[in-house]
Amino acid sequence: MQQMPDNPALSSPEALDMAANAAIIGGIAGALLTPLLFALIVALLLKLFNALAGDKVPYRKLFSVSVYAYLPLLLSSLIGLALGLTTPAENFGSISISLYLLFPPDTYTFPALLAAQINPFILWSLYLAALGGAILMKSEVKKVGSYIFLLWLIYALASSYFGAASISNLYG
Amino acid sequence: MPAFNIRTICQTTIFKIALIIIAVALISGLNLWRNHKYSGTLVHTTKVEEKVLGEKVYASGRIELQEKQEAVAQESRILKQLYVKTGERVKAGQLLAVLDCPAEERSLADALAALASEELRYKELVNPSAEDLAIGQAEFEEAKITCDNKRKTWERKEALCAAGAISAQEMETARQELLVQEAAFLKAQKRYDILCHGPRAAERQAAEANLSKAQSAVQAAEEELARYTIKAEMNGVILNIEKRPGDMIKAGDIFISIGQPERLQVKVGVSEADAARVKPGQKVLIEAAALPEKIFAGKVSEVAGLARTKEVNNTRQVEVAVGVSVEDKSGRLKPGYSVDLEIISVTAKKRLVIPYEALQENRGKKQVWIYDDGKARLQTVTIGVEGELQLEVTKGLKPGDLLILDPPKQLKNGDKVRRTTTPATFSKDEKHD
Repeated sequence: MQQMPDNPALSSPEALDMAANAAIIGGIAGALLTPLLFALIVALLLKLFNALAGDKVPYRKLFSVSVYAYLPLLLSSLIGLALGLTTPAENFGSISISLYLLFPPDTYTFPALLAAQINPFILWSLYLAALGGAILMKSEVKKVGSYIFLLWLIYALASSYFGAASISNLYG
Repeated sequence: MPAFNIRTICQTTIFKIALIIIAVALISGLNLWRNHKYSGTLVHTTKVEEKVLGEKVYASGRIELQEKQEAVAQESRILKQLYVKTGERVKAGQLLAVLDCPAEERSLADALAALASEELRYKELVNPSAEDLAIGQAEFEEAKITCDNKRKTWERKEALCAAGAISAQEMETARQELLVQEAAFLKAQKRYDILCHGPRAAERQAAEANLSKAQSAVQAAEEELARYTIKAEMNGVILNIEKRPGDMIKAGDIFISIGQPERLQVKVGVSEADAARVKPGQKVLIEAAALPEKIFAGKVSEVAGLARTKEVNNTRQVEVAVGVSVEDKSGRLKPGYSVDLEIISVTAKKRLVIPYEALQENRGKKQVWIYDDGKARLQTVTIGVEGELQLEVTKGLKPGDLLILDPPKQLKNGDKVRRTTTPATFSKDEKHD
């Protein structure tokens, strides 16, 4: 298990102010860009599936499905926010709504990072995307769902593996 | 009445909402449980282990010869003759070179001649030959006869004077001649007496003093000449010859260097903080910049009894001079090489070690924080050998104890802490000790 070390660069008040400003700007940008990015990528993947199947559903329609599929993730963010507001400040960093809850906080091993990706709201989102996509493409939900889930699984495994490896390299 | 159908129930909105509420409740519950279980200050910990640890003192210096002879010209001279070559092994007393010194050679020749003359004179005085004796006897007898004749002449002239036949002046002249001859007779008698019975003490002492003076003059001339005759004062090897025969050597120039290349040493300054740990006889590892592939061995030969202050970059450093003898049978180390030394002040062996990050000092007490089943416990320890990154604990800890690294300042005895099992940088760098 790995622990992030204290950041000495944040020891001065000026540095703390700068970090706080950067966090606010990053938070706003992230709040606006994350749903858009999610919808664009999921729509693109559905379009790719559609192209491979030889059908031509407009990208715009698939994008609408993807936006709709983002709603569970929005809900999870709201739940996370509510939990954060009711949690003491020292434990704020350890709030999670994924299977990472089963690991001690500040654990950065591969299984822990993989568990952090497994979140019921993500799975719900994937299901909604698969359902909407299947209706538009007149395909089976099982087929589109397997395709979407497989791609997400590859992403989850890869990001967990490389995340754990990079933390291990950085902090020994 | 509709049939009981799970599929239908699952599709109802109420079920979906209930599912979401259950999920949210579960997530919230798990978060609460987790926060409770892992509450407390987050700390880094490390395990107390037995590791090989020693103590070293580091220093840098330059290779020098333990013993050396440098032939230095006392005044400007021409190198007349050279009897050795660079690299040649020489013995103490062996002639190495001669400088041109004609005036000194002449002085010696004069002194030797004067000594020979004095020796001859002394020999004649103390131990005369048969010829000398015969001559002395003849001279004595001649003086005696002459003296007798003069006396008779005076007695006759005295009788004639009394009879009025000659003047008183004539009689007086005869008396004067008798007196002169009597003195000559006494002198001859004395000389003969010396020849027969040896000189008197005063005469012998005077002769001996003259002889000694001549000998001293020879010795002084030889010593003067020896200043220009260069001899080896020690067994060794000719390390360097700066001049060739015919070259002018200026006063103060070193023109021949002799040393024992197998007997080398390094003189270094050790900071006052480390000096107490350095003792004669300790093993030293030596690494030369010119020979990085080989580590040479050495031994601390001497540690100065007083410290000296040295100014480096406008900073005053207090150092203690340490001498290290170098063992190099390969002959690869050369005087003048710069070297880095590791003085093994404490031999490496298995010890119970902790990282410096775990140690803190409070009112002169060395203390560590132990992670004891979710709580921090302050423990006083006794420190032994201090390594670069770790230090030995001789009392207060046992293998397997978990120590809190860089303990937070506000930590109190019994505080709840949660740990990461991070080995952190401790394990990565431990090989250096």
